[in-house]
Amino acid sequence: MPVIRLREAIDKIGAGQVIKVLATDPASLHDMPAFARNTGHELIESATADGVFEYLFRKAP
Amino acid sequence: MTTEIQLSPEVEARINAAVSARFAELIEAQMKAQAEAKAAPRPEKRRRRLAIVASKGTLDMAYPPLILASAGAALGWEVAIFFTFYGLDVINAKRNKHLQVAPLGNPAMPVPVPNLVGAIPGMTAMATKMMKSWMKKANMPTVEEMISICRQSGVQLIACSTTMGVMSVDKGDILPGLDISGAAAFLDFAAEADVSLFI
Repeated sequence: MPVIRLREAIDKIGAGQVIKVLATDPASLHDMPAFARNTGHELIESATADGVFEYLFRKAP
Repeated sequence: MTTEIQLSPEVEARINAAVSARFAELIEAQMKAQAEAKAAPRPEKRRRRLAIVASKGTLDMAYPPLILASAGAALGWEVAIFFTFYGLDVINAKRNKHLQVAPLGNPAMPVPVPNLVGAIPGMTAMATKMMKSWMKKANMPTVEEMISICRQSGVQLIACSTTMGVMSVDKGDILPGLDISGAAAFLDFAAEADVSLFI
């Protein structure tokens, strides 16, 4: 449940800070952009390597 | 066939003047409307809202409301789950550790069990054990863990007071700290919801 874990983690960082998410759940490909649209936190990068999905989010001001 | 009408210069001048005046009037009205729209305070962006009715008390059906609710909360939505009828078992402190899934009448079991075999004593316990082991393998939190994730993320969990009366569920049987209320209060919340689900 990457979205729920991300929510917990992003609540703990400061505005403008960047957080890296590593997920094995392929559903994260759709869930992460949905998270960005709904929360206003910016998805600045996404990449896939060896079955691991990597995302970079910048926390909204 | 068109007929050209010759207008006297005087008439033409009057028409032009009238059209220009009307045009200027319309433009001015348009500009004014735009300025007003800009100046008006923007309506405050309301949080999205998810209202779920959880009516089932089996192990498999306990998950969908809890997963959707926690996902909604993670997106910053305002979420409430109304536990009614068998759904109450999910927030029953005594019973929610022992939710079961029955293979009888359930052709969707990943390991298909002939229906009649599902009726043999012990089959429900076996199917429950199997499902729990798949959940564990998939790193899925238990029902109790899902409930605490929901509560930590601000999901409102509501026990249906009417059902508690019907099924003789005591207030002390419900997990401590949950809301107990009726259908009207839940509908009041759901009336403003963007997504409403009955599960």
